[in-house]
Amino acid sequence: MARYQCPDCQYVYDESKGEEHEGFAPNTPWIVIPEDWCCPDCAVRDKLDFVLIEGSTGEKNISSNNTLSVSAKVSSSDVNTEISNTTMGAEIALDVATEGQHLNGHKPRVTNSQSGAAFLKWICITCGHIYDEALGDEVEGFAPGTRFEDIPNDWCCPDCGATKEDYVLYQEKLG
Amino acid sequence: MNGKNSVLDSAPEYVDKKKYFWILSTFWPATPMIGIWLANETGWGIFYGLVLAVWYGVLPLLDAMFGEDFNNPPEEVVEKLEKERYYRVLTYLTVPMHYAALIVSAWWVGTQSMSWFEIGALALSLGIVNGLALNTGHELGHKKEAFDRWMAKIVLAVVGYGHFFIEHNKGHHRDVATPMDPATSRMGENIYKFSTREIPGAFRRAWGLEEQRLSRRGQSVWSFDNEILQPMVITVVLYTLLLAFFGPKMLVFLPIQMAFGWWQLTSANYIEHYGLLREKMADGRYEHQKPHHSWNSNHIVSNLVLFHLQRHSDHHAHPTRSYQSLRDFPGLPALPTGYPGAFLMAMIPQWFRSVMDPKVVNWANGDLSKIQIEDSMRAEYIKKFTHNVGADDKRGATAVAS
Repeated sequence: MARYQCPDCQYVYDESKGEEHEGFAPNTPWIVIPEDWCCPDCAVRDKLDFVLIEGSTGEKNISSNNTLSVSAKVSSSDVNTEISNTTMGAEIALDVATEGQHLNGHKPRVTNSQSGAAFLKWICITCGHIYDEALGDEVEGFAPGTRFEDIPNDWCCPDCGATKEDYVLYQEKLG
Repeated sequence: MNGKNSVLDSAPEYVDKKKYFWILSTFWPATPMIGIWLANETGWGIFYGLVLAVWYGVLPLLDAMFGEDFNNPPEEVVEKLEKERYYRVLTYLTVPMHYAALIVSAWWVGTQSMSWFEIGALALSLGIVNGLALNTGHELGHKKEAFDRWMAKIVLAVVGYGHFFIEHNKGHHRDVATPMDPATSRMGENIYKFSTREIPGAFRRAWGLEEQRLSRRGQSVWSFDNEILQPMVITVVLYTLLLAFFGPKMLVFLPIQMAFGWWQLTSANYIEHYGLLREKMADGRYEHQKPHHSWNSNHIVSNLVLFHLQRHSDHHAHPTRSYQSLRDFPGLPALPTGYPGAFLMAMIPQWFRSVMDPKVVNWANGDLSKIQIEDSMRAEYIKKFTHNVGADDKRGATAVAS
């Protein structure tokens, strides 16, 4: 079961708990949550902005028999989502495929927790903006894989203008 | 990053100079009762309009006199500041203040002999402070705890605007500064026209959002879990009781105070994002809600009676931040005065436009395509603001530099 966090207000969507108030029963996988759903606490970030903080998008293995393997491209690299080939599964697979395409259009916000262990995320303590080394920042001109230490020291947070010094390692905050 | 720790260790104790002044926000809703007391003591009915005079007259003057406060709490203390119960308790205490103001005023109108002029003045006074029940509900409704959210619904019920809790948090914040938002005004749109788009539009959006949420839960929109209906029930019960106790005068008094309360919200929505527009990105989504998508005001006196609502830029960028931690940023689009003065200006469209339109154009660096413009005004604006682009640009550049 994976957990996803709102990068603005730190609200966490936990697949195993779901979010009853919003109508998502426990064990509702992230991929079936509507794309236009926004953070129930702050509403200024939506599903596509959420960051995977625990588990992986590939953890939703409903059954091993008769599975449909979808190369979803939800994450920045090759996480495969396996979903049982029931009617529901097929629907999900379709969702994932379209979402994959959609996500490719703009930076995917989900990081790879399987092979990219060396990539880190950094959070701006002033505004919560997250710099993810795996994704880089296209707008700022940092290719995917650009290490935080390789970013110029005079670089400022693209959201609030805080200095590079104002960033802290994101993983630390979760512990 | 080691440097950070040493800074933390050696940081001098931060003192929030505004800490005890926030009590003003808690007591301001009691002002109509002071007006009643003064009217009773002196026999001058004019005091029923005390709030009107203070809100539209005295506060703008005080804002001009005391000016702006640009101080921000240092980031290291924000976590502690957010956790301090004191600040939260002040917002809770404000809730019974609004109820007291409503009930005492209704009791006075129902039991004393007052002229219709006096009743009208008191209704408008009460409307202003109970319009600010929306402000109290706003601060509470953004919090994550269930208790705070219930307090928000309870206080919003005072003025019969319970759907604000859904509409504002999940609708307005999501869509702000885009054409989808009925609560963002367009440049050139006057407040009266705006209100006919904003008031019904806001209700429709809230209802739609709640319908969507409940259907996901497999419930009907007419369920008691509907968070629009919950406060509405409180309002109906409350107003029915007032009518039963204080008689038919309530049929006039209550609608006037309620309408004027709603008008305060309309005024706030009107000035908070006037003309501003978020840019659409290549993938069709709008850019995130950033501080420069709201008009900010650092005017100290009006901020102190409004729980910092006027630090609206930071609020919209980070809606769950508490009022005591809201920050100013350099280079924000700024209102020339606090909300009370700006509300007054808004009611005189010519005045408001003459002050704000150049500021909006300046904000967009003269690029009219980056502004939300009222369709019927577009031609006029193109003529006005592209005609002497050189002069405007220069003025804009110096304004930004200073």
